[in-house]
Amino acid sequence: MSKLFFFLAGFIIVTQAGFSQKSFSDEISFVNYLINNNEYRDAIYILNALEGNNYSQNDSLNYLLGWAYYNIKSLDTSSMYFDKVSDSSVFLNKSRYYQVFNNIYQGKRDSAKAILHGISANPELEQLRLFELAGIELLERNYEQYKNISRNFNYSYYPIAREQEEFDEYFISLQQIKNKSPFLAGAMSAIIPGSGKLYAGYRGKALASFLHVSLLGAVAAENYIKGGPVSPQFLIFAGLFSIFYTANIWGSILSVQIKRNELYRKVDHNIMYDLHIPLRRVFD
Amino acid sequence: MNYLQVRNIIWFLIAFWSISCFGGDNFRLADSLFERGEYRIAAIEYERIFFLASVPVVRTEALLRKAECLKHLLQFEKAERNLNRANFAALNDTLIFRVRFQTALCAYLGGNFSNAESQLIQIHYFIKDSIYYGKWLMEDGKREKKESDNKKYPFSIYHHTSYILLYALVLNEQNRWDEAKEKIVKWINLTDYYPSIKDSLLNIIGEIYQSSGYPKLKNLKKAQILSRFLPGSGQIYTGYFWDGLTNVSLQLTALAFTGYAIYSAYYITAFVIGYVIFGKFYVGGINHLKYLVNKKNYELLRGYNNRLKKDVLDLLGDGL
Repeated sequence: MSKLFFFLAGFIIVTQAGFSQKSFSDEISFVNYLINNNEYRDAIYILNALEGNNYSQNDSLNYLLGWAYYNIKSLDTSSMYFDKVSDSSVFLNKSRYYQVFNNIYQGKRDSAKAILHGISANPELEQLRLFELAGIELLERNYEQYKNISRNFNYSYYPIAREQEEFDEYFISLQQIKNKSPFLAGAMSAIIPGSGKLYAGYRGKALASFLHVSLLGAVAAENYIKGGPVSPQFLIFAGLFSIFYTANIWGSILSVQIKRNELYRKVDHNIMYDLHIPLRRVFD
Repeated sequence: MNYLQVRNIIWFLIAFWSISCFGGDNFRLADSLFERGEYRIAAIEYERIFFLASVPVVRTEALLRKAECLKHLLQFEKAERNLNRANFAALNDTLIFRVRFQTALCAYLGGNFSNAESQLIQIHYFIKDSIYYGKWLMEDGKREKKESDNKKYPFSIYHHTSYILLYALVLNEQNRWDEAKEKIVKWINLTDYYPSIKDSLLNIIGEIYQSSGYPKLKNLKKAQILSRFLPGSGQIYTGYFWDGLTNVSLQLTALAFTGYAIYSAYYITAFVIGYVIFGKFYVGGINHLKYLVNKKNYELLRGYNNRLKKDVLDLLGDGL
């Protein structure tokens, strides 16, 4: 009976200790549950309190931290944790490709290209690797390099097939964006107010500019004719006309660059979107 | 130690082990974090309890306590979403009331008054109220009320001041003051208060909810029509005297200048100045009225509802 007593006491002590400690795998299950419920900040808090005892545990920690930070748009920190995932990890491919995307999004395209070139050959993901490289070349306007890479597109890997075709369309539309001359826009507006903005690609702004400047010019002319060059009304309206006329010319010079940037930004936004969505299809 | 003593100790140890493994120790860590004011970490621990537990009552309790943490962190919308995860199957009426009431409270605190009202209505219709159920049994002649009915339906919203208090506040915020008054009066009549106390409460409610005291809101269409015919009058009607005066002064100045320009045969100048200054201020003044009317109505409603909230809270107590 006393042996049974000591056995039970020992059993209770051990199980109580076991119940009070949380195992690493239990914590990871809870973290996965939090991530699936979009509670990323809570998941980050739990992960930061954990310590892994071997490589596979550290890889899980780093991958989950990278994923959680990616989802709260903290891309720099996300990249840092994805970079720590070791080459032997099951999370390697997903970590590397999302690290690439994070770097592209932050403008670190050289780092992104270096990672893509360093990814070991994987026949299943080769098309994805080429696709990401091609996207970076388009963003950097390296059209020759894009053509060289896109020759290897097979357009049949379903997660990226449509986006590969869309890249070819972006390639054509980027080359069609003309480099218009700001000086020509300014000269046109000096002759006909608003025409420089029309040349740049703005219709409404061109009409508004024309109306403002020409009406003020008409008022100044009327006051000059009826009041003379030194009449106060003429001086006021001539001054207003000069300001608006000069602003019209300066605005036309700037509008060429602004319009070009708007067009590039629109295409870049579409390229970034097309770079991102296939990653969700392949890895999620 | 003899055989009986050792046997008793062994049974005690087995019982202790069972209770501490499967019983009420789940919340100890989370509750201690809550007591220390570490609401964010406590919320995570309550979420862990919800994740691990399989018993519906334990899971619901974890959600309720997590909602308390989120309320302390002023994250009311998140608290409301959290409580919406509760599964009401296998819960008793008291727990269902607690969950729905807290959901309504979080919705109210988060400014989502229609959601708050929806939860309060569901409390009324989906929890069998002992007072209402008794009345239904007797009035419709179905059968006589039995003593066992009290045990079967022990819950009544008419024993919870917090319910009617929150309902009144929610209706006030939606400017449905007549409905709020009606609900409070009905609730008072169904409570167990002494008749003298009931009469006193009803009188006070009558004074608080006087329809003559309701705010007189400004009408946008009326303001715009006034400004069309008499520029500036719409702003004055809305209550912004200096805005109206400035608006009408600028327009009169522009008109005067235009008239003088035409008289002096400066026709182009008259057209441009008349169009630019008079036209812009005339149309701009009318368009600006939308902002002014909304602002004035918001100020009137906010001032009245704040006063009403204070009066209702003072009367019905801080049941929340």
